[in-house]
Amino acid sequence: MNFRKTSIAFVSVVAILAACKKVDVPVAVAPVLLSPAVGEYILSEGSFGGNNTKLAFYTNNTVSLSGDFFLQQNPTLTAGLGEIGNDAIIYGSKMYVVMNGSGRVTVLNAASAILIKNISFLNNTVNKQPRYAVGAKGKVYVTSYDNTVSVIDTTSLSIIKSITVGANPEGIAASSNFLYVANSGGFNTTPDSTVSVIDLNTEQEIRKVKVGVNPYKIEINTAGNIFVSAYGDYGNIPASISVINGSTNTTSTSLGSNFAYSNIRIFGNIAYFYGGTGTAKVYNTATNTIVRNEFITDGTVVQTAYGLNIDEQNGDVYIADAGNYTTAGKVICFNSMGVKKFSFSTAPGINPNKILFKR
Amino acid sequence: MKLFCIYCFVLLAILPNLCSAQKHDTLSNIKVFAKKNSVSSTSPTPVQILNTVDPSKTNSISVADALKHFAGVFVKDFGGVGGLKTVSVRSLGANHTGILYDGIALGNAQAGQIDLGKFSLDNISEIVLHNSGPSDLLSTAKAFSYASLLTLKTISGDNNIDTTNAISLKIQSGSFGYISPSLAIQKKINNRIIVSLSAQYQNAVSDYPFISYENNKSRLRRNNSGISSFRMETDIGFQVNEHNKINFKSYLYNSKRGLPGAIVFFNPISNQQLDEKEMFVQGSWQKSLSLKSEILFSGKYEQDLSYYLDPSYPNNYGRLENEFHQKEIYLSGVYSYKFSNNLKMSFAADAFNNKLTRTDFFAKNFATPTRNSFLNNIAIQFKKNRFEFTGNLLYTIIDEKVKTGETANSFNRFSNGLAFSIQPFKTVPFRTRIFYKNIFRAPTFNDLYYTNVGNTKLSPEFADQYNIGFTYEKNQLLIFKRCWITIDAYYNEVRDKILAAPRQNLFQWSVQNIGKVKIKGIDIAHHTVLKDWKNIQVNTDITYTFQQALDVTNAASPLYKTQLSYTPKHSGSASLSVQHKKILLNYNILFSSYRYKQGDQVYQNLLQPFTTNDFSVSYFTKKKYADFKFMFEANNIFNTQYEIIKYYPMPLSNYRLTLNISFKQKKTK
Repeated sequence: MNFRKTSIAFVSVVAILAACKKVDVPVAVAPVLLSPAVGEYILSEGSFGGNNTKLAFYTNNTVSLSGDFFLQQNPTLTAGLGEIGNDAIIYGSKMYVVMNGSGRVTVLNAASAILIKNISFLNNTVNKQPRYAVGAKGKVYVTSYDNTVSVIDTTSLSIIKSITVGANPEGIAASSNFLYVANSGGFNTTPDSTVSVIDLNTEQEIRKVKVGVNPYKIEINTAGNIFVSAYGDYGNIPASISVINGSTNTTSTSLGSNFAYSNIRIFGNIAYFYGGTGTAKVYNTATNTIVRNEFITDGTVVQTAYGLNIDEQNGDVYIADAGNYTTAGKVICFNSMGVKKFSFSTAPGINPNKILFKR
Repeated sequence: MKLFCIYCFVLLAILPNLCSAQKHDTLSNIKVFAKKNSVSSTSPTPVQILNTVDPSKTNSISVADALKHFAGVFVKDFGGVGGLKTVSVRSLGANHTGILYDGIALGNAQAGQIDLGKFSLDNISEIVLHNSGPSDLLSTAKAFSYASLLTLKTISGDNNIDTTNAISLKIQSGSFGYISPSLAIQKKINNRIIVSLSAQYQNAVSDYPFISYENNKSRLRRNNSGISSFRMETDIGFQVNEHNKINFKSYLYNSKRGLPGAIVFFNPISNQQLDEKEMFVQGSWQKSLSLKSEILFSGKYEQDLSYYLDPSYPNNYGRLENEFHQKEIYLSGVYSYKFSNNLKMSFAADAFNNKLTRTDFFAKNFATPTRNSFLNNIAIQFKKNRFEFTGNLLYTIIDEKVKTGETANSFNRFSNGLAFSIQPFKTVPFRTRIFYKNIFRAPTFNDLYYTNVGNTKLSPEFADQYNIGFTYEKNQLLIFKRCWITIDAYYNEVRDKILAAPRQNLFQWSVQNIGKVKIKGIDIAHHTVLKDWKNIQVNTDITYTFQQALDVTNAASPLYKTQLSYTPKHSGSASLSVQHKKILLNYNILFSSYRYKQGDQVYQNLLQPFTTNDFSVSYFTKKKYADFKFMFEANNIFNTQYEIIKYYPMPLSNYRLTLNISFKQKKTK
């Protein structure tokens, strides 16, 4: 394990960040390893039927914003990214944008956002509906609503394998040896409530672990435990957070009714739960204590926290605010104490859901 | 099954008689110019009429297409023959438009709006749009319960005792695999009973090309937008005497269509299907009790089925089905009394029973609502010399029951309307009119009970309308045989507008009474008939609509005081028709300024302004045994790529050919 950690720390700074899930690096060490971000990419998924996914780029030094950076960098691609950009990750030197409605993963140069290739997820008469991606061991793993995880070879940029998991998988996270996939079953009358554990060496599902109803996002803390947020059934069953013990991968425990959050982001051992009451709850996963019930301390109002990410170099927290879901969103940057530093609009992008750092 | 028996019975009754109808006469003069305009210019509330052969002037195959030529009307058209087409009048929304089909309201308690693309012009003789309520006091209470009222009169339902036996065969064919044969039969059984039948089959592949959004160059084809439908109507008219008439209608409509959906970039897959079956029987009895009093009793029974299939839904079964059944029972009675030559009053009482059930495999805890509605209406009309006043007071009670879950609140409401019209100068044919109306629309079953989205706490959505207008009508003026113009300015307010909005995330939507809209508008309609010149008849129609419809829902929203989505500031139409003996030429133009879809008013949400040009030429000829009519229509002749709903492209140039043969029996007298 030690060897792994060290090697990861040295191999590729960009790659670590990109994957965003491999935060095995201790908090205190991170600032030393990372150079400050030169800017942030913001993915705005757009509206249903709107074909209006936007990738924006905000530069920290010159304070300039390009709301449609993808078009700026690819001026001949006037149709843009397409319908419902559900997720984006940077892995290695590439950015992978998961286009749920358009049924493809668009691969960009992570430094320039210039198109490299589109990988189709259309399967004869069915759109597999790709959802979330994670990079691990030189490959990118993409969940799709058709109960699969597609394995993308990052050099040939093609799908080389499909792993069958549970119903309508959503979030995915990778530890050094395992992939964890949230089986939402959200399209069934009774949602699913399991996480598929996939052995990264055999690329086979080895087990399903029971978690909260309708699981959505997965994050892993420094200690190697797996945190799973779940939507519930939008009715009687509330949202929930479950924790899978990473050393056994067999059972999970719920954090209880005070943790009705559908979304989650972990930095080191600090978890940010959002998509519930207030903007975000801050929780120390090492000590199992609530750090703050409300992350924001200066009264800044976030209407709809739709995405959250942490700049691992300085601990700043970026929250993507989808507002009323129909007009341009915004991104607000806070320091780790919950005090607003700056904000910017994602116009013309609506429903911003992902913030990525360029270094 | 019962209905089917009735159809068989009617068919059997008609056929033998038809065979004996050997001697045919020519059609009476084709009433191309038979616009009943005087109502439009004297009514205290705005009325627009399209009648007799007029519908074919507008290069339209459905009622929805024809309505695009009316002032103040927005037809939400998703494109193609099978694309949903709903009608919103003066930006109040489709749920505020009522439709009477041969005098009786068409219901849809589930969605609250009617797809007017379903109503082919084949059997329609007259379309009238009333911006408030009905002009005739002898109308059902339901007719007064809408912000605006559309009345459709059918040809088969027009059982005038003067008509003769006739058979009309029509075949229409056009671009993108459109074919539609139809048949109309009218048979006079005796001096009192007339039976008629109208049947039509429509099939359209509708795979029309459009310019690719992905590169603005290549042409793609619309996918999964085909439709096939069959409609059959039978009417029985029984006329005891001039003051005592009974009408009975049965209606059957079956359709199967693809739902192409919005264009999704880079993903052409589309395979959702919708099947609909509608059946209703309705009847009315109108009798004058004396010179002063009249009664009208109507009734209806309707049974609808809609079946939706998504064959690639990513659940355990690999498909999603929605099968809904709607039933409606409707009874109405109206009594009108004439106190004097100036004053007339009426009282109407209506009762509805609506039920919605869901029977598909995926139905889970569906509410299965039943709604009873009772409407009582008093209407008054006072006419003296050049002054007219009309008013009505409507009382509505709605009461609901469900099998599972929470029930919506029962409620009762008073609504009213007032209208004046006056001709200030005896010798000048100029009138001015004012109307006010407040009305509401009840939440639909979908609003209340749709799985996870519905909200049983909803209250009705209110609409207030204020209108001031001027009309001028002059006959024999310069080169005009007839000439009229109406100008109306209005202010409308929609409160507690029922909208679906996401709650905590995009998976969780709920329907709420949250919207507020303020609408200012001007409708202008102008019609002329030129004096005949060397056997050439010319007439023109121009409409123009200005609308400022502002969203005033939330002062903190970036959309506060911005124009409502899909509402052009300027829109209009112009048409010219020229007839010389047996040849009729029509030219129609439709125009709309830019609009935005929902959301920020930025370029990516913009819908470009458009103008479409349609042209048609018809040729009529009468032979000894039959009348013939040929028509060629060229639509969108300049190949304009436009859209009414974002990412639902409308067809480029397309053509239709119609052949119509009518056999008519000579009058025996």
